Amino acid sequence: MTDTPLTKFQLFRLFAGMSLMGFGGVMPWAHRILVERRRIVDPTQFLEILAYAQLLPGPTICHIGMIVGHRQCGQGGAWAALAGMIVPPFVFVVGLATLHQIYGQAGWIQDLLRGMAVASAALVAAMALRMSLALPRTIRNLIFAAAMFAGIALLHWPLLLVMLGLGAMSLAIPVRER
Amino acid sequence: MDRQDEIALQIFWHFAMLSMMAVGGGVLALAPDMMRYVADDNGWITRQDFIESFTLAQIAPGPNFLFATLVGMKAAGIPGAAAATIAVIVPPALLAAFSLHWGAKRGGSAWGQRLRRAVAPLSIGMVCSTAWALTRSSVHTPVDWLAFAIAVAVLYGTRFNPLWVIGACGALGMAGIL
Repeated sequence: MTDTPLTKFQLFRLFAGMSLMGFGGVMPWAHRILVERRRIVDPTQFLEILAYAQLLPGPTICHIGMIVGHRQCGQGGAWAALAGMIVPPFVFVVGLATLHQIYGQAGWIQDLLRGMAVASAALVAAMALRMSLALPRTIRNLIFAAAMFAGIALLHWPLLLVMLGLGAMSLAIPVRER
Repeated sequence: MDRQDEIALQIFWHFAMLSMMAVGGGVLALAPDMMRYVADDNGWITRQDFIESFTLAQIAPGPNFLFATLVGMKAAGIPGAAAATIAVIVPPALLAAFSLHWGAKRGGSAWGQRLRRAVAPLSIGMVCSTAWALTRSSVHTPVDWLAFAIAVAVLYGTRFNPLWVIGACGALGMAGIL
């Protein structure tokens, strides 16, 4: 950790900059900037923060910001980091969508977006693949992942119900230690 | 309250509830249920609109949950954009702030481990559902499938910036190939 903790304003700027660099995901930049460039957290701390952030529901990257902000500057720091992470890209993306509303009828823009949609589907598919292969290959995992997929993707059941049902079952059936 | 604000409010409640279900897979995993809610059940936007919003958010910088912002915007203008964004961010952020305050610092605790193991296959099922929904809506012709397969291979197997893949597919779209 650096000696002098960052102020709220510095935290806002740090995470705003990081967020605006993150085309196709902010996480790689979070590691690059927080650990490698600024050395605000060391590599072990980063893993620990990541594990904590992933445990909380909601966007992991925002939780990383809040945890780092909190360590630097308390509750105010956590919210300053979150605001930095969200407000500037919010403005950017709303601006982009406004431009799209005005000019989106042009044929070439529709062609462009149709092509890009293939890539954005591929982006999520690659992420799904990476996550699936990282999961231990047990019958239990396979059954629960398949049940979730069937409920949401094939049967179009409400996520809330499927999640509560399968979540309760998954917690009730203990994972066997290997 | 006019119609737009009413829709924004309904989006707010539904997305806020969903945000607490996004465990492990991030907000991306909520996309199929959001699509079901705004497009299939309520008909505020079409599935096509949903995919366009998703794709626009992918090419903008920032955390990838900003697609929810654009879905809200498409359904209910700026109030919708704000409602969707706040709904996705704030409930989990409050939870994070509480847990930081009470010092539940470690995702490595026994209870945290257990929860994570229980939820891991479910979040993978959710992300796979997102990949499925996007692919079904954006990938149609055999040539689309070829481009999709190459894109997944490149995104999975290399460390290329995803923007290059999105750009390449956009160019193919403009050339009338995808």
